[in-house]
Amino acid sequence: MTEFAVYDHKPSENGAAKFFQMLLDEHIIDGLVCPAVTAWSPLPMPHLFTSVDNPELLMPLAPVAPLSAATQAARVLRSASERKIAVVLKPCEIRALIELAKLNQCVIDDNVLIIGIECLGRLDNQTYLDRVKENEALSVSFYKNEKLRDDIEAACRGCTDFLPEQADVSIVTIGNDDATLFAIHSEKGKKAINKSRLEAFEPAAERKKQVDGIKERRENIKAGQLTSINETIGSIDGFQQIIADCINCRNCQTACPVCYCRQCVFKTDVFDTSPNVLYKRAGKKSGIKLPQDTTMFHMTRMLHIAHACVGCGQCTSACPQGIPVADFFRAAADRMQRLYGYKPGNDSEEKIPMLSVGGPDAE
Amino acid sequence: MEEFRPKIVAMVCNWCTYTAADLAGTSRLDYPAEIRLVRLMCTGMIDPKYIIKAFLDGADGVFIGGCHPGDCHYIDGNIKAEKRVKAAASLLEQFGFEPDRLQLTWIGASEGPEFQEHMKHFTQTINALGPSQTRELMVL
Amino acid sequence: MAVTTEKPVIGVYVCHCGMNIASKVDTEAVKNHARGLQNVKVAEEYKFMCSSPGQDLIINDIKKKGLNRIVVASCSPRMHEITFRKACEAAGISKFFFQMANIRENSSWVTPDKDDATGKAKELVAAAVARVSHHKDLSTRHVDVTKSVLIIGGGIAGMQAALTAAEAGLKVVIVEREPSIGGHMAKFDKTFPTLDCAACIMTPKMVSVSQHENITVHTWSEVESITGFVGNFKVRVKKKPRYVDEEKCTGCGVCMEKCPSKKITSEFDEGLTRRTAIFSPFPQAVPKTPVIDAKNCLKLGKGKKCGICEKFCEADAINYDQEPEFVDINAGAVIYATGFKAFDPTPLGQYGYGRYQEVYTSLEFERLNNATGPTSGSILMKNGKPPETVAIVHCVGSRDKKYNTYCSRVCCMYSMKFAHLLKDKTGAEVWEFYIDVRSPGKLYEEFYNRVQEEGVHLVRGRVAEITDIPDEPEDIGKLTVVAENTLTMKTLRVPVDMVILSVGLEPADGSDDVGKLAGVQTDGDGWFSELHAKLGPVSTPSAGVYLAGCCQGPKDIPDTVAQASAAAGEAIALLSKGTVETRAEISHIDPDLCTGCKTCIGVCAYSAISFDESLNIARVNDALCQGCGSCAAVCPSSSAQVGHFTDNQVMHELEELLS
Repeated sequence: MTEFAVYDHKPSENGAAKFFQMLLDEHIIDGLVCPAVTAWSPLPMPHLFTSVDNPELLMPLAPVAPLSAATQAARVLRSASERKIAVVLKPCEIRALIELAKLNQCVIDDNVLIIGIECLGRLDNQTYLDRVKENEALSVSFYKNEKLRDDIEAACRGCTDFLPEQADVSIVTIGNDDATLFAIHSEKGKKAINKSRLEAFEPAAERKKQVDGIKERRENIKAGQLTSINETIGSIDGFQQIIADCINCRNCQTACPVCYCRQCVFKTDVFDTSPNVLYKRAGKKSGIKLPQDTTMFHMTRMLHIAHACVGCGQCTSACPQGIPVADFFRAAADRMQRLYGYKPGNDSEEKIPMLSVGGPDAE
Repeated sequence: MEEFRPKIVAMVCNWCTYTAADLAGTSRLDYPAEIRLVRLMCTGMIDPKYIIKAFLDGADGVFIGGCHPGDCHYIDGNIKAEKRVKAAASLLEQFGFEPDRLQLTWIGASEGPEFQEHMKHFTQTINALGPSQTRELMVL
Repeated sequence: MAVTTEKPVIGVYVCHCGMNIASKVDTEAVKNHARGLQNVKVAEEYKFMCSSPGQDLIINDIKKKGLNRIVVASCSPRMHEITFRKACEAAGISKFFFQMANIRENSSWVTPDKDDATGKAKELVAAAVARVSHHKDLSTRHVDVTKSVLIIGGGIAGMQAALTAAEAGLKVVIVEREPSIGGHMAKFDKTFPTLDCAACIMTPKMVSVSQHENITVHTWSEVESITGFVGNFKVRVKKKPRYVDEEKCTGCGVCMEKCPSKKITSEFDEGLTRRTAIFSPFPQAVPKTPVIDAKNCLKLGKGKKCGICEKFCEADAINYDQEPEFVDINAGAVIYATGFKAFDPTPLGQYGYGRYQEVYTSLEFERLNNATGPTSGSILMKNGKPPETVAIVHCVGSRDKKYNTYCSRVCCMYSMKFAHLLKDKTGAEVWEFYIDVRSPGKLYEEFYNRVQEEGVHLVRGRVAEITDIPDEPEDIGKLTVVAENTLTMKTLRVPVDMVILSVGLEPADGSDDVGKLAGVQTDGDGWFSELHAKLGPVSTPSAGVYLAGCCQGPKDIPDTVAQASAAAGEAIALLSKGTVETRAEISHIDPDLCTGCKTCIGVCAYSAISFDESLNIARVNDALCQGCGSCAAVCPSSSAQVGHFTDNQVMHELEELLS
């Protein structure tokens, strides 16, 4: 049974921010990673705070993620320290962070408090900036007004993991019209809430119905998305239809939170086809499209990280050519994760498939 | 119309399957010439991207041969290989490659006749499937 | 060897191998094809590349034409890679700048059509040329070794290996789990074919072993763990408590006389007699010090007030408070000599073992013959009388699809031996029921003939049943052996007083667990796997780990002794130089690329990769790494690469094959 606690009974754009300010002021935490705007741009970027001087700048509920904050949170949490750090992350970012911890890229120990956000999707960066220009309040209203969510990213439309169950504490946005409300998911979270002296709270009965409703709608959309993309990529020829414009910029790899290699193998010379072979190939067809390792790049990347793909969609967001990378990655992920019986970011104790002995793939 | 001569790559481990292939050789057990062996020390050495590469480069079939479980020279390299091959197989199938084009088989060092049988049988399978979708596509 | 900074300049040599290649492959066409490949400066063909002139061809071309990469298109690299690598070294280039294209086993010998064979050969050569262009020089280093050998098992195999190694100046440690060394041979009476007394030939060896300055023996001990690598094994031995102080005990034996717990089944006597709780297995035991079987001891196991042995021990050697002791040893090599166990014929209900008291296993019968056994060496039935008719049943638990399909190799000979001993000691009528008589060793066939001349009845047929239901009233109390004589095709029913089951050999209990300690695998029958059935019978794939005696497969004493000395010889050869060379074709992790995810560490079967906490990267121990490639295959950034099997090399080989 999830417990709930309320910070402020008045709904406000930055109720959560004020809560974070209090956590820092009262030394319940020493540091906070949270999206915030800067003097130079209204696009919220991950920030590391030791104190919150102006809560207005913090935007945890902003429906945008210019990059996966998981990577930045992992930077801050690179090694264990005595400092108590809270990280404010969307559900996909939390799951990515847990995967990164399994890969020794960061440490999630007793000093790390994960604050999740019940996420109803994000807009791509430009759309968000346009809306900001139109002076639309984009946090609380986004969660109340379904129409404002019409153009969220495709990956978000089919996301069924919108409740941050792996967080210690999460900001409740669904079925909550009244308050700055938190859900508690772990003992660690409970301790933090108790220290903050927040009152227990019972959310409206509406909430469960809303959550179930969203989940069902999303399941259907996801199923539809998967069917459609699987049909397209069901042949290499079909796959070429989508990736024909790929310019090998590797943005998708850079944006991906679980693609953790310091240097992608595709930046080395391993895949450089020898000119001799290129010439021979060209001879067979009178001409071949260059660069020659586009399909290899995407398929290898799928092999490497499909089991860990959390479906955040940052790859599509980052692609300058508008290629729906997240579509085929989520499709590969869906299949690979079912093959291994593995859910990324679900359980920090669950070993990554390459290291687990036995399991459903063992037959 | 030119007869279809499949291109088949067989990635085999030095201690078991490659030895069996040598034995098939010394015993003069012939098998289709379409088979090209790539010698590795262990099937565990097979990075799944080699399999993808082979198929995208136009291989009509990829055969992987290693030691029987329990016999691996490196203890359990073959078991690890099985897992990775399954992952590659799943991805390839998703992208339209017929599952029978990739085969992982255990062939022990003394199994020359079995090696011949497997090569013949696999070639037959590939012949029946026809050219791989990437043969003419020439994309990588 | 310096890193080469020059462009590849390749020489390709196409071998005819007499007619082996040339009969199917158009070598000239292959040579010409090679000439047209990128970076190939020289392409030649020759009748026998592996011969002296063939190798000279390569060496001269390297020196005179500035070649820095060589491809030889000939037989299997498993055949001649070493040969040609040496030629490259002799000419002054790194042996790793060499690649073979197998156009014999992989083409000419297996491709009937000449055009196909030639086409395939051309492709294989092109692939080798593409690969060799990406070869890099690899280096090795020398690691100091510990000049000592650990021998697991103190039977005849272990003792022989120990003596050979000790004489060569190596320090030897024998770990034996029984209270005494000697193994199974200590139980035998006479050994075939010479009928030497086993104790007479073995006790001098036991004494030599115990007295040799280079040999330390730990009996009543087991190996707990083996870590490290060839030349540098770290072993932990657990010495089980004897409860008797080895230094103080004089071996007087009074404790065994006085011990009130007398009804324990004697393992050494194969259950035919009883022993006391404080015991030494046999009179010639080395060391003489008895042990207390704590489980059956009234004081230690049953909590009763006793302490009689302590009371009577004049040397004050009894110590009930002894704890297990752990000894840590460094060893450069390990030899397994864990022996065998006899097949237990109980499941073969038709033979009545365990039901009829006069059905014996061969080991039990040995004890009846042995002077230290239950009948002081006389062959007597349980009623105290010598038998008048005896049946010996061959192949019990061997050559049997239901139990062990292999032949245990020694049973025919010991069965003949038993027949002879029976004739000699009792004059009994002896029936031998066999399938084939296997007598391959020196003087074995002669022994078999002698036994036949002594009037032993030899019946070719597997015994179907042994029953106590007689055919004639005068045979009540006897056993009847039912078998078909397959040569006369008549069924026989032979009444006998005693039956001996010639049981086969099986791997010793617990051997596969102790084998795992050093990575030794077992074959389908549970025997330890040797490196190569013909060319490596005493080595294992694990460097520095060897096998001696029956643990590798059933064999007689002459072969065991030979193999034991051979295993010791291998250990001596390994350790003689004082250092071992690490392998060249092993994994290396690029410290600049490694992201520290530890996935490689999780898949390494040899625990050869460690993690550098300060730099947050993984690092391969070049002495432990066997070059299997599991780490490289799982590393997404390809920072882990196996030398000579790098991504670059394999990808270009594949690419060329498929272009």
